[in-house]
Amino acid sequence: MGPLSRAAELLFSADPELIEVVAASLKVSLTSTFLATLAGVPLGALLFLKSFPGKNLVRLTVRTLTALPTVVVGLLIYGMIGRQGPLGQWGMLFTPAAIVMGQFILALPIVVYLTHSAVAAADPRMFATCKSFGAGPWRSSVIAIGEMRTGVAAAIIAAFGRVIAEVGVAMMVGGNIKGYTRTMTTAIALETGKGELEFALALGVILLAVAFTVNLALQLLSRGAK
Amino acid sequence: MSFIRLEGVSAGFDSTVVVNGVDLAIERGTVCGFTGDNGSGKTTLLHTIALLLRPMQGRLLIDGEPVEDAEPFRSKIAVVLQHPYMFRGSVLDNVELGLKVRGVGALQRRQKAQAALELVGMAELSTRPAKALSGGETKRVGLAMALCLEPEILILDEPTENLDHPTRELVARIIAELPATSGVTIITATHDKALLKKARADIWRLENGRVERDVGLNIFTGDVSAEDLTTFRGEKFTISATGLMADTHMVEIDPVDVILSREPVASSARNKLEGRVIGVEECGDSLSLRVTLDCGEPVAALVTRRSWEELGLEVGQTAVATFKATAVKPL
Repeated sequence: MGPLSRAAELLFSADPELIEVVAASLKVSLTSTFLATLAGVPLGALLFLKSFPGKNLVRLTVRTLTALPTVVVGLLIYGMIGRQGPLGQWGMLFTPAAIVMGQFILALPIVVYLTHSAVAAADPRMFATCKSFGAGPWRSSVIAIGEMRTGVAAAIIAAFGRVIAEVGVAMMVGGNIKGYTRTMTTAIALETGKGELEFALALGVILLAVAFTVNLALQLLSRGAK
Repeated sequence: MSFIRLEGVSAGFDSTVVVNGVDLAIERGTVCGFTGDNGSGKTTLLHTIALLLRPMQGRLLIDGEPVEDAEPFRSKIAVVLQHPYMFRGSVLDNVELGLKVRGVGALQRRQKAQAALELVGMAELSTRPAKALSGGETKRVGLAMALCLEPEILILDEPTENLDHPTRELVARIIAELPATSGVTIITATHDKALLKKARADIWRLENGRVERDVGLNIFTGDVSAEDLTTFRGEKFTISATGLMADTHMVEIDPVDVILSREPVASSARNKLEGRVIGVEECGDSLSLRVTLDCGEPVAALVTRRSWEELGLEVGQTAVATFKATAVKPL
């Protein structure tokens, strides 16, 4: 049996180990994306609507951070929550919470930057109307997010796509512990190293399926918004 | 004390000054209209008074108080943009939004929004998606969005632009009646001089970012001939015109369309009015002159300084104003 047909068998037989890995992956990635959405969407809108000194520098920094290497974030978190780190006593190293923390750092700039871009693309008349109603930056942000919900959804989905596919953070601070912190990407890396190509391939197919579903959702959302 | 006062107000975008040193006083419960060519600064001036744009220089006073921070004054003002923005949701959602932002309770919000939609004749479309409305409908919803806020100052940018005749009449009637019924002060920028006449507006003309009182050049009142719709009988002379309707009582001729000559010229133009030159003044730049003839009523023509010099006319001499029937615009 070739690797592809073995992968198909694993997928259709709902292999418990496979389900465990997929569930762990979705759990950490959805949590980190949710947290990044809570913080990033309002921040992105405010970054456009509010004037403050150094705004251009902040915008440039956020844009730069969208390309943050995952291993750098992994290293940073490791330094923070490792035994010798300032947050070492929290005992977070090699836990799903550590992965969530790292993925949050990866997702946040993407949500902020793309939300900012979505709100910036809004019709200037919308802001003038909000202003004439007496809406301040916060209220205008809420209205703008509602108006530009397709762009904001795209920001969230892009962030989710980034964290579900990342391996650096999950490997460095998650520890790839079976049944606990093993995600799809760390499992692929491990199984490939062991020569277990079927399992790795099956996970790869699921990752692609997740990416496809996410993009399909985005397309449907855009169509619905028109 | 004037309700709204502009003292040396200059405004614009980035470093471009569009409105330059405007001094103006607007009384409470009146209609103030700004006219002028496209790009003359009408919208910039409206946005400045609407507190959507901060003056670069000078100061704006509302009810005697200088506007340093716009926020405390916002609840006094409502704005209808030239092309009102429609938010997602129904027409009713849109009209309620401003009230919601201003903290009005749900029940009161619904009542006020429905009353405003009723006033502009849009109550039947209240459940329709606002983004699917036509230009004219959008304009009326925009007006309802502003009216339901019950402002002290209502700012309207081209309120009758692109409206069909009945809707234009409806909007004109609302604008004319509102100051008397609710005490609101209306400030509008428009090309629709008939609207301003109906509302008995104080009319100001913007030219190169400066305001001057609009004396209503070449606007004539009268009636359309009962025999045909191409003859307009004014108070002092009769004009050939096109596009008149039986109920036209006011026409306008752009001074640019009036040709000035010493003697009647042989041409296809239907209108030739003889009169005495009673005024010559610079217009906008040093190259153009506005020459006024007394043809029973003053008739103005815009000519270049060179043409004026070549004609060799002087104040007091007789000249002829010639214009085509198509230059006569019914108001």
